[in-house]
Amino acid sequence: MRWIRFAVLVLAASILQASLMDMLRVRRDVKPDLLLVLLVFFGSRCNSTHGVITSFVLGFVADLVSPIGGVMGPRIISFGLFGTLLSDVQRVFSLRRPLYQGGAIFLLGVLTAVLSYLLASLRTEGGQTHLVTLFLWQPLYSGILGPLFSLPVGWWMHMNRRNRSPFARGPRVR
Amino acid sequence: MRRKRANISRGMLFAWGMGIGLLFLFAVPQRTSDRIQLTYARVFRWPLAAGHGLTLAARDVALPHGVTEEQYRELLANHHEIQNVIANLQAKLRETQSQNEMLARLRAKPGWETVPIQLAPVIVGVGQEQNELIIGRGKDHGLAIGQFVMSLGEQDALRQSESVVGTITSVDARTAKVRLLTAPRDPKAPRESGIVVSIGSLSVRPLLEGSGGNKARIPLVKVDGNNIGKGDPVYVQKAQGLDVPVIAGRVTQCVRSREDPMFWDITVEPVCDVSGLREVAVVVPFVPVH
Repeated sequence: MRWIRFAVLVLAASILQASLMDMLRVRRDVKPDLLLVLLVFFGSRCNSTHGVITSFVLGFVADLVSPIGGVMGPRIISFGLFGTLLSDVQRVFSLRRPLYQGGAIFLLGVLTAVLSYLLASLRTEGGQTHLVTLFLWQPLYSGILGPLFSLPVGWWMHMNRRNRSPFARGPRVR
Repeated sequence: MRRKRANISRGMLFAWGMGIGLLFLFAVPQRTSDRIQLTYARVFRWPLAAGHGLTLAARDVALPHGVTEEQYRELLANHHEIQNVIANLQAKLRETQSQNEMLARLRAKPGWETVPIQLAPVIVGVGQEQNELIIGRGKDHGLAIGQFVMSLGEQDALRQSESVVGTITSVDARTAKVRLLTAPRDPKAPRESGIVVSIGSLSVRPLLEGSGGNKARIPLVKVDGNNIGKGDPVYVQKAQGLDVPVIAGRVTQCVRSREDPMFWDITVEPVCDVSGLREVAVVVPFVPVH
């Protein structure tokens, strides 16, 4: 794992998420979640140890950039939990096809949003959040656009090769 | 020398991550969380601002060639101001059109073709019994003391159409005070200060004076054997630019005068409900300029 490249990528993604992603906004507040896309990307391509680390780091950055209810913590937990689960699942299912990636992004988007919302509501009152957007439209939009980001991210992280290191704990592609 | 590889189990990493998450969620005060988020925003202020600016620029309409962003904003502000001016002018236009319609209706009636009229909005009713009105036209519009003020049949043309409601008693540059027909007569004023009227088909031309309580009276009328019935119309006679007699009220009571039983005292009730007036017409006689 190239951690410096990972750090630069996460930083760029956080800045893009906070600013330029507004250009892709549809309706009033539905925009793709780049950090969710990265969560699925790394969860489906890293070995499980790296998957855990990247998931929590991405969760922390997601809490920095777009915290739910203004509280930090919910997305660290939800990203960490579901990212770790994904890195376990990818031993069984390969998520390299764009359709599967899109499905995984949508599913993880829904799960992380629901868990984050529930955790945030322990600390603050639910309040103003538009739940349909949070639980449905945003994950769906991220799932549709997410696979498009995989190629440049894989190129940057040198992860587009089909053969993986034999020392990694993930599945081998023949 | 071979670097020693950190050997932390996956489970331990997961536990650490969850612990940090729970710590942030339950133990770290909101103020500290806010400070971390603000620090992130401050450190990456420049790229965040640039990205935000780019997003806004992408949303904006492409600027025409040779127009700077500052000029564009200035033009946009001017455009908004002009829109407000247009909205105000449109409101004024609608009001003027409505006044024109009223005047056209009035002019279409026989006898009213040449009566010079100035429409005036009613600003407020004055006095305990609302015996006076203040209207939004004055000397600048040709109004003068003594001119007749009429109601226009805006809502109920049959009942309220073109009835005299009073006369101008004082006038300013842009406002004037209207004394209603029902306003009690000043005891010091001469009896001749009343308004010359006619009753039904009677040939006499007595004077109408207000008696308060939304009533007016015509004292000392010589009936000469003609019957005056309840509901007979009372007309203001041609004067002060009025080319036709105009109804002012209807007779509600007719009794022998206590001063002189040879004459009658007649009580008149105006046909117009002044409290519902929004606009009145002032008869402004043409004054030739020497």
